[in-house]
Amino acid sequence: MKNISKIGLGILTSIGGYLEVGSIGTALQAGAQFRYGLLWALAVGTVCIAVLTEMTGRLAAVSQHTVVDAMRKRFGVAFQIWPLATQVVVDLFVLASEIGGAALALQFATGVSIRVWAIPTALLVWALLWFGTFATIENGVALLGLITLCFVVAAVTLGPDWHDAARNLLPHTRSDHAAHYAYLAVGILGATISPYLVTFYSSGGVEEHWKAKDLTPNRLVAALGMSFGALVAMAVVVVAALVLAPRGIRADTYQEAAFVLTIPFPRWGWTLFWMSLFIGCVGAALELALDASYIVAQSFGWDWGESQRPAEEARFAMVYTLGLAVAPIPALAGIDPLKLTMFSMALTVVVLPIVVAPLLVIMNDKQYLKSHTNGVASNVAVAAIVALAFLLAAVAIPLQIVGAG
Amino acid sequence: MDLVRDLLDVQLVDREGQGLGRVDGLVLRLREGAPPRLVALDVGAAVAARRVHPRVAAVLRWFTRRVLPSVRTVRYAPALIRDVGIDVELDVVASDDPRLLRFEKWLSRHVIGKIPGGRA
Repeated sequence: MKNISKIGLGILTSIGGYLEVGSIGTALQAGAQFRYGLLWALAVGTVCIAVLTEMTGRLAAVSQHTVVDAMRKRFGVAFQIWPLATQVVVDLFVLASEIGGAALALQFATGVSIRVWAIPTALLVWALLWFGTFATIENGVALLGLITLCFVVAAVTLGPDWHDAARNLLPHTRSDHAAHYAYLAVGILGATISPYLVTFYSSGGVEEHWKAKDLTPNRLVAALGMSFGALVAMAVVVVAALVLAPRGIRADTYQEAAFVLTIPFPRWGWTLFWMSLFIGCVGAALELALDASYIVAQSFGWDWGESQRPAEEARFAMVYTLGLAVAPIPALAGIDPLKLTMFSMALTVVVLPIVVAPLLVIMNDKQYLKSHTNGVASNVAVAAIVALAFLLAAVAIPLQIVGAG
Repeated sequence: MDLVRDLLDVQLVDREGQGLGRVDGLVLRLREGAPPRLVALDVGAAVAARRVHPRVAAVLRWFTRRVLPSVRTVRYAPALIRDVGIDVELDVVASDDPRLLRFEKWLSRHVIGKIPGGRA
């Protein structure tokens, strides 16, 4: 039973990777514009993020220390300041997108503008962090997040061509609309292999007091948690391919696509869509606000942890409070959360290599991992992910310019 | 013990396991005809900033002096070291010592603790 409750961390982490405003948005666009053509990007991203989370969970379980902790110790402050500064910026941008996304979901629910909902949404997220504990947040979000499985039910109900979908799980390129296709592929990979998932998951393992005996659950949680996210995200692609593509809808904004579930579920489709979007965005916002606090606190050696009272870890609480104070600003200014999130994703991709590359050193450090250091296969996997990260980082900004249209 | 590998940037904790920050700098005394001797472990944003870039350090010094005077560099004698592992334990108790964690305590008392729900 205790092992089943651990899956909560996997699901919460994966919600930040797959079911937040940017991921659902790109999945809708991918399905609407290229049908099953980009399913492979989700498959590749899932393998990468499952490998990375397993490693950082292993680090947490064996050493009771996090990636950021090990990074500061092994590479020193003059290096650490770069991943820290860039990741805080990325966390803030993505946090602002999620606040906008959750406010947009409430706009779909009520018809009242996202400008009105932006501050209440940020306050809700802040209150959950301020009054809640890690366990309540983790289990609450994981449980409510199961509502997103409605996309899987919708996909099955709509009866996709399974052969066609399965063939597209292998990477391939396209000759028509190649730039936009590549742009969406990078967007999906960037939204999935997010550096904040890596730092968040390892902090979560320490919050949950994982020990060396939890290595097998850790493996399962990483694999199952990420598979849950991937399954739902793939279902979003399939639903968009079967509902939006035949109607010629490109899903460049959420407003165009929000009706997508009303075709398989005429009665409940609208409600299910906004609820899924709202829960995904709030879950991701909680994860991002916490992640910003985690990485700052761990970099400077402050006490940290979501389960203590704020006054016992005042600096930790200060970071997420400040983050959530500025996060509603873009939504208040009327910036479309989907536009903001596509920009944030390009930033995420650029930051990815400097967060992932140090794992090659950290995951082979016997002081932290004792006998559980990376084997040859894991090291080759990290090296491949680092290479992919550098490639993505190199093409992300140019594609943002040529492929966004 | 290797100073840079085992001490610099390492997490410091007190006797109760409370985090005291990280070793941002090491102070060595040069001695005629003898190897340099470790005389202190420095913990403070200003010290860390000096290792990043002198300009970063200058901006930070200006900022803390004007806005956050409770942010100060703390200097620990090496004799306080009780245990060296992944973290380094020092023979102090931060909650009893007004010189330690000044900013954390100030923030807790005057800002975070004042917001409803901040204290248990």
